[in-house]
Amino acid sequence: MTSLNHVTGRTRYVADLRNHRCLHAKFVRLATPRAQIVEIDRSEAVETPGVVAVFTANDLVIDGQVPTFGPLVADQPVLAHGETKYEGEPVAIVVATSERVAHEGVRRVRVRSTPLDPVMTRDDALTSPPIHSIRPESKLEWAGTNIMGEWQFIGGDVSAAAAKAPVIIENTYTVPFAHHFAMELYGAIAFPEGDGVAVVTATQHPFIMQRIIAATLGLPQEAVRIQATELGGSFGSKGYPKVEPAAALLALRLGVPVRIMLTAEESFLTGQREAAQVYMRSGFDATGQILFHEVQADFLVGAYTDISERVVCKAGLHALTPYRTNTFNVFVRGLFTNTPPTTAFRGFGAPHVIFALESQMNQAADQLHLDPVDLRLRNLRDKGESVPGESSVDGDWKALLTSVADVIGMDTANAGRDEGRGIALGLKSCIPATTSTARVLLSNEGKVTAFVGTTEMGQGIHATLAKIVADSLGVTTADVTVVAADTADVPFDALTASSRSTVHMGNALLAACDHIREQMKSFAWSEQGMRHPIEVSGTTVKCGHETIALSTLMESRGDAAERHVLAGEGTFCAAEDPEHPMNGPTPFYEVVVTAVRLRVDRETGMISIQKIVHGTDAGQVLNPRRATGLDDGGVVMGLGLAMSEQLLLDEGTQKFMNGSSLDYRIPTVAEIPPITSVFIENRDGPGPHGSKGIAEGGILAVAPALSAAVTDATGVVITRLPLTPETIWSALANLPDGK
Amino acid sequence: MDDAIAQYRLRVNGVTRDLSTDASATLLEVLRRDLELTGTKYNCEQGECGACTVLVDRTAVNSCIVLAVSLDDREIVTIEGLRNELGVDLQDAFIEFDAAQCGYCTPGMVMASRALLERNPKPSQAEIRSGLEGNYCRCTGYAFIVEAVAEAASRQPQDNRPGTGDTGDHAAPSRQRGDKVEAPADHEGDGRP
Repeated sequence: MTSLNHVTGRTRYVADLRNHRCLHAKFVRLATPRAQIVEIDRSEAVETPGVVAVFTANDLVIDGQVPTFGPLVADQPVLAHGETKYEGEPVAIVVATSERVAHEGVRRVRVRSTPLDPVMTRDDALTSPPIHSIRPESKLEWAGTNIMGEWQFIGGDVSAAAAKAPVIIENTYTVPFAHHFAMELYGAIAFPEGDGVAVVTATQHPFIMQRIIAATLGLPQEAVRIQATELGGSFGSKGYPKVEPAAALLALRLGVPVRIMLTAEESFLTGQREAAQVYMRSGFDATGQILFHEVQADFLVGAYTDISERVVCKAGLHALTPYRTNTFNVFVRGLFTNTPPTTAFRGFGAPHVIFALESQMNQAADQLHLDPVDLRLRNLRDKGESVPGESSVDGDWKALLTSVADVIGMDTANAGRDEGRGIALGLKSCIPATTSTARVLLSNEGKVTAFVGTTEMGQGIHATLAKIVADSLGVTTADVTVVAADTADVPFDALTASSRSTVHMGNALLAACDHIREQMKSFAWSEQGMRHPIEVSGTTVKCGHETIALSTLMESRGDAAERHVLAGEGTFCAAEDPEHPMNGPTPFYEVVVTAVRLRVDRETGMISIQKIVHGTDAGQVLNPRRATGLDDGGVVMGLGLAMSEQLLLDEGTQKFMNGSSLDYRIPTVAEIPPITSVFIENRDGPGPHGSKGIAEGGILAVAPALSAAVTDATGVVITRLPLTPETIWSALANLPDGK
Repeated sequence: MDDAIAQYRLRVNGVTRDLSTDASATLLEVLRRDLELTGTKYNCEQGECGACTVLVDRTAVNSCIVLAVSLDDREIVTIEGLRNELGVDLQDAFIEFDAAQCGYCTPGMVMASRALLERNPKPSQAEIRSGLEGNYCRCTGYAFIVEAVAEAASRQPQDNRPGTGDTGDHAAPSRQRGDKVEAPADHEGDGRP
């Protein structure tokens, strides 16, 4: 159904929903990265015909405070007061009878402000006074600096290992700010409902949204209802509240529905991917065995916390997980900057450290004259091997690596001059310690309704979940209707993220189906006198040669008219461990290998990619076409981030120069190389049929594979993303003999 | 705000619409806001991303950068009006090849593909790519979209499939197909087998 709706334009995204009573709200934003607000003059704006109200932070105070929000730390104000902390931070909001009038009202609000010195870089952050004067609620210690949080993971003695290491590779890698570029922009509509508010919004996580909006507004959670629409892409961008708190607040205040839809330019300044600098020093023995890894990574997280504490911690925790490394010192920090808040982004911090780690591995292979596949095979963990403090290795990573290497022909020499090949592995853990609950109704006609909190954003999860239920109950997927993501309709689900839903919600649904089967069996036992072994398949119960239909069973209960469905409920909880830095061990590992063959044009620095092979340890693929499409899409997004995407700051104004869909270039169809997908399926995952989550993986290892191929082609080592023609050309120009 | 009111007539999906809107309204605004045809999506509003692609006189146009008033009496087809045989084949192929993930770019992609096949019924892979270059997709990586369009092209009536009644003219967009595009949007029995 989803696909049919997509191709006919019938899918209703949040911006497509319209209520003729809706008022339209638009933010007044300050264009400087950091400023002291002196005065906000709204006199002209409020006199504009059609403008209903203009609010500043002071008008929105609840219990003496400007409301703030955030998933971990409520440090982001609904409207800035006193000081703005990032370019485009809202300082007022105009509510009007139409979008056009709201836009005009925004133009007529006069904001007087004094620019303040912004904290824009790692060095700024480490040497400047803190941009936050207080830091509420964080579980982390805060020293009154721009360090949001820091984590260190140590094993063995790095200094001693370094003293003895015959080969040491030392580099600093940089990854710029980037934007998710979901095609659907940020937006929400809030409706007064009962004693509270209902928010219809493009969010990945309706239950997290409910909790945060309730906290922001000082309402009980039951007074907040979130209806998540289908998302027009997200990639992490729509996980945590952005425009929803303001919409909810205004709807409550004004007693009418309020709609906020951002433009593309506003969306660029609303959610970004962290920039990072990753220093890495790695030691190897002559056979290519890792002797130690040292990592110091600084992530620029923007002006507010959002989910960054978890992004940065996880990036550090799993920086080295693929390889057996007993001696390590990993130190990661998140630094506040006067840039838009960063948030979850496909890969959740992993791509930054994978670029560093895998580039180190490739350089070590070069220096040791070893095959990069052999070097990895020497160090990769075996299936079943324990990982200190973490879940054991749940997949055959070596088989994955060699499969991809074989398909692309890593041991086949480059065909021509300036051609190169590269390979890299990527690993991401899944969010631990979360719960999914599902409800399933089975009618005596064999029709099924599955109630899930899982949101659909293009990953095809509703189709996958429908198939899991259909297979379990012995009906067809056409018999299954998925009802999703309205907090008033569906049981609790923690979130739709981290590639977790196939495993978590899939298992919750299987448990709900089991619950239904138990009920059918007990009916058969008590009403039909059936005795063990009783088998249940779809809507039929079998016992020996005897079979009986669910509808007959229902009649035998004597209440067929009223009771024509069985309701099953099931829950899946991933293990929790309060001692673990992320609250628990990963439910599974998402592991991929990407290999590239390309040619570099030395005159222009341009890369032309000839072929990409991408492999995923899927456990078991449940939806083959979509799995391939997700990997394709992830790889192409990875190509964009590796080759062209970056948010550039003007050195003079410290403002973003390319924060628009016109100037920030994502890959188009014209630039797409042939991509071959490989899936390893050993049914060794914790999900239905041995599946694991896969949706994020495509992005993880593209950049280091590409970088390695550029090195193979040209001899230059590039440690700065993206690998633009200019970057490659400059590096080539600096080669002593122009090799 | 001091926007003059303009009066003009559009033919949208075969239906004549007499409109009275702000003179500066784009076609996108008029379609989504005034006609409530929200199947047409938007992102950049700068004519870059292709999400808002519709057909104007059978040619793909970014509706976000065209003033509606400038299209007086022109023939506009949106995703809601795409019910002709080729449109159905194209849409079926998008479903079969799983060419839509989140679906947000899909209406624009389908319309751009429709326009491409209209002017070039048998496009090569390279021609499909250049024909869709103006349409961004962030989900799929494009490969399945290209496959779907190629498949839809191969299923066009020129294949002499029985019952299509096509003339087999590959060179020019046939009048017959054009007529079907222009069939009223509310007309069922649109030639789908």
